[in-house]
Amino acid sequence: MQRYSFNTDFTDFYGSEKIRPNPLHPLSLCSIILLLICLSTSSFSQSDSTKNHGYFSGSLQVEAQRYEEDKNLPFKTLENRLGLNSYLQLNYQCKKFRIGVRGESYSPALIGYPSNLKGVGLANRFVSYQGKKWGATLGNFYEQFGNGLILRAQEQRPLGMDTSIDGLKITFTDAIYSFAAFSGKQRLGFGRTDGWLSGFDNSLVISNPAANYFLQLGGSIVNKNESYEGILTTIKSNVWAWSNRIDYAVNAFSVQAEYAQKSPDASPANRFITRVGRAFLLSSNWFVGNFTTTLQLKRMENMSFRSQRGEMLNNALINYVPVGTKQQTYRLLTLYPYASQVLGEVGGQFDATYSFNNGSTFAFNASAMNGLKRYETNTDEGYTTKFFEIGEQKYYRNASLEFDQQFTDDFHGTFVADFTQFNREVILGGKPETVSVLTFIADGTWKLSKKHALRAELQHLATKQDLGKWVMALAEVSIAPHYFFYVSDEINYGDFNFTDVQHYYNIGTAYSLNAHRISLSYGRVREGLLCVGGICRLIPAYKGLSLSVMSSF
Amino acid sequence: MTTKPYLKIVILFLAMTSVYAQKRIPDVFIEDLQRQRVSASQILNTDGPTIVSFWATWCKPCLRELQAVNTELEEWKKETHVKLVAISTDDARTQRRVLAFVKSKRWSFDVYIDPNGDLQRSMNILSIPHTIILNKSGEMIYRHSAYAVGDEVKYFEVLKGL
Repeated sequence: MQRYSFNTDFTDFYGSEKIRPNPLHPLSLCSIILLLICLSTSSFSQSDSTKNHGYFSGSLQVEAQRYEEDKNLPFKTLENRLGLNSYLQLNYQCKKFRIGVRGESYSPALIGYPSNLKGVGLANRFVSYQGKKWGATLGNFYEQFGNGLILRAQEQRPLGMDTSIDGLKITFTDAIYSFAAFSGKQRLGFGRTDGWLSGFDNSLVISNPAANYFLQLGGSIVNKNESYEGILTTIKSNVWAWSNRIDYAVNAFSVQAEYAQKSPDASPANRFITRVGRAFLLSSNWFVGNFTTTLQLKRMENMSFRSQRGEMLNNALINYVPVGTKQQTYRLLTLYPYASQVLGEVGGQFDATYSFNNGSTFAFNASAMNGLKRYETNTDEGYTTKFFEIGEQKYYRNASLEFDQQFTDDFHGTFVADFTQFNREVILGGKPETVSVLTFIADGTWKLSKKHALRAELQHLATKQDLGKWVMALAEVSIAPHYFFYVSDEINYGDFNFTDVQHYYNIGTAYSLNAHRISLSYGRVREGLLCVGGICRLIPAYKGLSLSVMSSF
Repeated sequence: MTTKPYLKIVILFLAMTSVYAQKRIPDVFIEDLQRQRVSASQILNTDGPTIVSFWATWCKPCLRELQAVNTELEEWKKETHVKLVAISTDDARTQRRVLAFVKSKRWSFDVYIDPNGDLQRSMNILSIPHTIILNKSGEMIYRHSAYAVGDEVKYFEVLKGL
């Protein structure tokens, strides 16, 4: 079961909405004709199966929620008692050619989804060719240059986010040199953004197996062209972004660094200043005996980059700024996770794991993020900074210990202690407050028989700020390979007076058969941010019934 | 938008999938732990069956599954010559920790990275863990979503049946 983390960042949500009509694009028609040609060819020309005919594949996902009234939850603000998201992907592969279409339906969308996702539409269609070295895609495609600092077109369905590019992409890949070049427009709702994107990325591998080292050099450039006819002189029609990266590994040591820069890009996000955007990421691994360590450093400045000026939330994002803190998976630890501050942040993360000879692991992770030290100016640039200076404002601190062991053949346990300091004003918005949180977690799995298991989690979060204390318990029974049953309760008890206790209970079941899965649950869900890779969507609190169907074929 | 033409295509498509469903790993480029690009269709076992497991460093059920299969792997190899391949779906946030993570777990099987989810998308994988068993010829014999303790028993039954 895939897990997503929650946090409670309100700053990036509820933005503008822009729905555009989705006429039948010429490429849609082209794809459909090609699909039909391939279908008829494959169906009637040969009798042998996959080798000559190619194959079909696809997926179906349906997410439905029936909301109920709850006097303690803001149900009355909802317009509909039912939310229904459906996604159908259909592909046909004919030798080296692939054709695909994806239809999406929001009738209406689940609560918390972007408001530009309404109705039924064709969200994605493409024709692609992939040879041994050369590849090409016409239509919607996804792409990432390096770490994504200047380009990452991605789909994060749980967030209602899809920034695929609709255009043409050409790639070349061999063992030493590879490149990708593209041009097109990004998806926005069921339409496309105003800005036109073009980009080029290439990388060169220089390795010497005899000397046991590996070196890879890479460089990328992206241009956004979006016309502007207003009166603000700071707004530019053309915005350029470039990045260089190096990847080096020798024996038990490796380091990877990327530096990116973006030309002046005045927008509502940065309050129309012309300051150049800069981004730096460094990541290093080192292995000594039973120790493995990872160090990551990060500095971001004015790196908000969108293909349509004025868009907010997760709409029209061209780039991706990875979060430089530990990715939390346990439910209560996701109450206060860090979210990337693209306008300015500096910090890092250190992770060390000791592996015992019996397979147990003991892991330590520490991370710290601060603001930048800015020198305000009276020019269009807005401010200046010094690259190696760290701002005094603390955004986030975290230290975490995790012990994991297979105690007996039938019992596996994980124990976590975690301390977090969270700048509520910067990450959540609202009142200035640093929330200090101490959390303990015990997670155990008992193997009851060859196919039966019981998993239980007990979590406790203590803080004197914000909503106060939380405790959570979960019990899950699984019968391999098909059935899951679980019950859980998150209890927000504020303090030990127990005057205002809120229960967020949930009971559910799931059935898996091959690549198909159906799950059903009922309960109260607390408000929070659903975050995938540091990009988040606000989920309002609700009570009700949830049904999920996922099928790959 | 008129939905009827699409509906007809969907019905036609679903009818055809029962006959000509996806059977092979597509030619999509992924990366090994040294960041070298390789075609996904080239990572399979040519001497026996292959288990391909899609996972991520932050996905606890994925780790439970890989640990369980890894524990049994040597025994399974003796009987079926199976090879285990794990495909990490970590994104740029956690991708750089995959190598250290694999070292800390002392996994000896092959691990690759799917940097922007291209392989995951082309295999129509909606959630992880997602496990695929392919025969010696590279044909998909079994797919499974999610992990419950004991799923590995089913995997071994499938392997023995090949």
